[in-house]
Amino acid sequence: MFEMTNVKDITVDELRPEVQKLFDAKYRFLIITCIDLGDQFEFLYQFDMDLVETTLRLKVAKVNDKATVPSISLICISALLIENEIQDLFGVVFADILIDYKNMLLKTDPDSAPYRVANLIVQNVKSEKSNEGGQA
Amino acid sequence: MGTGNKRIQMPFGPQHPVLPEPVQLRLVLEDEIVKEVVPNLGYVHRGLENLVMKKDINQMIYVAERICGICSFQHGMALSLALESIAKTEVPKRADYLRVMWGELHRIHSHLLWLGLSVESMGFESLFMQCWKIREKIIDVMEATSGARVIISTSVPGGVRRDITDEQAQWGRKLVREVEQEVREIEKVFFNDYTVKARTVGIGVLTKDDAFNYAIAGPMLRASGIKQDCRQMGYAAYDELEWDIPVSNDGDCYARMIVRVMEIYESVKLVQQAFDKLENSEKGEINVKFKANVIAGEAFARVEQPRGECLYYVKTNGTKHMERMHVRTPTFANVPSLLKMLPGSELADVPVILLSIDPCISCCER
Repeated sequence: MFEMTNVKDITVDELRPEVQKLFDAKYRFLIITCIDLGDQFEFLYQFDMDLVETTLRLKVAKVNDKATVPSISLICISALLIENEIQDLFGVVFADILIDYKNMLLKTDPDSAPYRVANLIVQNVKSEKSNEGGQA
Repeated sequence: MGTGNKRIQMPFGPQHPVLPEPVQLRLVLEDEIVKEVVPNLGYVHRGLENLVMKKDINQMIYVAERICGICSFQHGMALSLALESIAKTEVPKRADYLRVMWGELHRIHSHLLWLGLSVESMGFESLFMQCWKIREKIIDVMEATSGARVIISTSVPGGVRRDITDEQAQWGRKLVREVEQEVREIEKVFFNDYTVKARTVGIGVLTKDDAFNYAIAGPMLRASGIKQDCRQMGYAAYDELEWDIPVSNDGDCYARMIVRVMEIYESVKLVQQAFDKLENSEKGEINVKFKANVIAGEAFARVEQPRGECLYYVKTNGTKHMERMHVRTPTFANVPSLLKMLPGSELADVPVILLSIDPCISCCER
């Protein structure tokens, strides 16, 4: 029942026109999901029409460990919170967000990006080491 | 105050008597009128989605249930549904009825909790206590059927953890019927009281177009005239049971209150039908074996929580850990609508409007 079926791969340039097209066709914005794939980020933009969801899948390569994506909050205002959250958690920059909290939504260090896979591995190693020390 | 058009900034929260949860609204006021607002979250963000790297799939069910206490069962169920969808697992029918039963009990107790808090913000102390007193009966049913009062931890991938006896079904049905009668006794206050109407009618209006543009969810969406409920998708056993979707076209705080009261009655209907099915069906399996290291895949589960639709995106890679779990809670979807509802309203109406979205900051700070 919950398989992802209507998925369309898009490029960065196609993002805003595609979102505008869905918005004009009365698709309701649901959520953006960000996944760190190592050398690139994957973004899933999900929309709903009569309880059937449509997904736009966008992959953005990291350049010098950074990535910039156009914000869709000027089209779907409700995207502003999730875009700010992704900025804080993944260190991705969303260009032209309606309200840019500048890493003050979750109050994270701009460079910390706690949900990045590389940072998670470092945290895990640290915590394992500290556990070993405690046992000794 | 009262010096012409001079604007002042005023923080509303994160500690406020009306809303003892860590959320702040930065209000810009002109006299007593709100001109601008910026919602501010993130005071207690827990990074729970991050735990997929450390906790295996079965442990993550417990984590998901702790995203929010009030709708904990539906969080666990949503994650279970997503994993079952990836593994193409069919759960026993009896488990589906049990999921409906616990899910709707959660909806009733959440709505009663909200109704109490909502009228308390208008000064109805005794009605607040009455709502919470009625809610206790629902909590008692959950305790008797699951062993816990709020976070019941009964949904697991592959089904549910506990079954109920016929005696429990009969006793539960009686208690839920009493709850319905008691809510009907107090509903006239919500529907007709002068003060309640004065504080809610025409306040915080969201039109049908606004509801679409701001992508709101749940009772708020339905109070703005959009008849949509994720239970229509027919997960668990909702496709076999009879129920209706209360809708209002007014889009104000009053409409949201009425929709929630009416939803209690619909949930009572669903719980009664689930008890009937459980009593009349054969006792048998309530779960099927579910391997923690499910095959690689991705799914996007949607369930209707008391506050609205909750979305779980899950990506697995064939190991015992998920690669990614992302949750969109209903409050997170409803907060941006404050940007539309609050400007133009009076300062005194800010608490009522804020409470009308049934904010759960625990859900936002997942």
